[in-house]
Amino acid sequence: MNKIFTLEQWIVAATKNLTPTAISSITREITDHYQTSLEKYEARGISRLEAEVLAVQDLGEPEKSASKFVQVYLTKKEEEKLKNMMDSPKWFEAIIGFILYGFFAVISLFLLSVTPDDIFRNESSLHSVCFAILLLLVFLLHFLDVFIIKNLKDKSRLSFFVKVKYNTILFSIVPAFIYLVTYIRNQETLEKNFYLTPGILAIFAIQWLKNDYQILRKFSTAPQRNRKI
Amino acid sequence: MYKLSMNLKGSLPALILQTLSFGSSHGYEIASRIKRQSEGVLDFKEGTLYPALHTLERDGLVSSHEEIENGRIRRYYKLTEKGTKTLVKERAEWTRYANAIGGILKGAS
Repeated sequence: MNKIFTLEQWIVAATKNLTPTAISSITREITDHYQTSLEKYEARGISRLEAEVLAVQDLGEPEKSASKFVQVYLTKKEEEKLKNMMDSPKWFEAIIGFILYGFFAVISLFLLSVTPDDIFRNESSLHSVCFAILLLLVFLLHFLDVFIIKNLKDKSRLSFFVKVKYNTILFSIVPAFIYLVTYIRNQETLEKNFYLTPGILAIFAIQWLKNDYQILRKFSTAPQRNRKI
Repeated sequence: MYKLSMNLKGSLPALILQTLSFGSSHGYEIASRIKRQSEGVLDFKEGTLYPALHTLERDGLVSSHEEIENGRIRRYYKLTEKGTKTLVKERAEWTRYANAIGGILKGAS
């Protein structure tokens, strides 16, 4: 048997975890819907009490609506994350990321330099070195985020989200490219597979950025009333 | 008798767009029109209408504004140009789909 809710309980359940702005907007609309529904039932001669029950029942299960609302509106956690992203640049994460990447990149290059081949004479190894350096540059650019976020504080939010999108795409393409090149060239030695390390790091970064992208998906085209953060 | 599950899932946005093609409207009216025009066949829980409407608004297919009516704040929705184009495509797609299903079911009788 379905649980009987009051309108207030229904709204609380349907807007669980959403931001106050979203809750306020949804509450206004659902309340108007409910009141219109009450009036229609009462006009048909149904008692007030019965009409109240029927009007809420017509709304259906609040959990179902909640699962849909959460796909459209920012949750409190997402809003908090967004505020943090805008207010404080991720210095710590950026520095750790940079050190980690730099460490693996240097090891990759070092291992290459100690291979028996003369890397600057062997065409294949030379390509590999160029590729590693190119990756290093690309990833260095990524860690410049921290400066860009800081400068974006007073600029349009859209630019910031475009940047998040760009990073997500970058982190998807680079590892795929690395694996493709490795596969084509059939590199099997441990030393040469060290090129993969930045790619593996990038995969972790994809996971890390996934949440940002979720926010982007909701935010970039969200209704104006959801944009107040 | 065994009954196949046929519901509104997936087609609610198109029905909302179609309803709004007659002019701007608020949530309760949209829900009532869909139910009335389908003669009660397309019944759905009204609480699911709003996430669908807000998704359409997020995607730029409808726009909304609030008005005060009888002392209550009421949100009206209307079709945007993008929404109108999408509705035309949705109608064509649905006709194609319905014809395909109809053809199969007719063939079975």
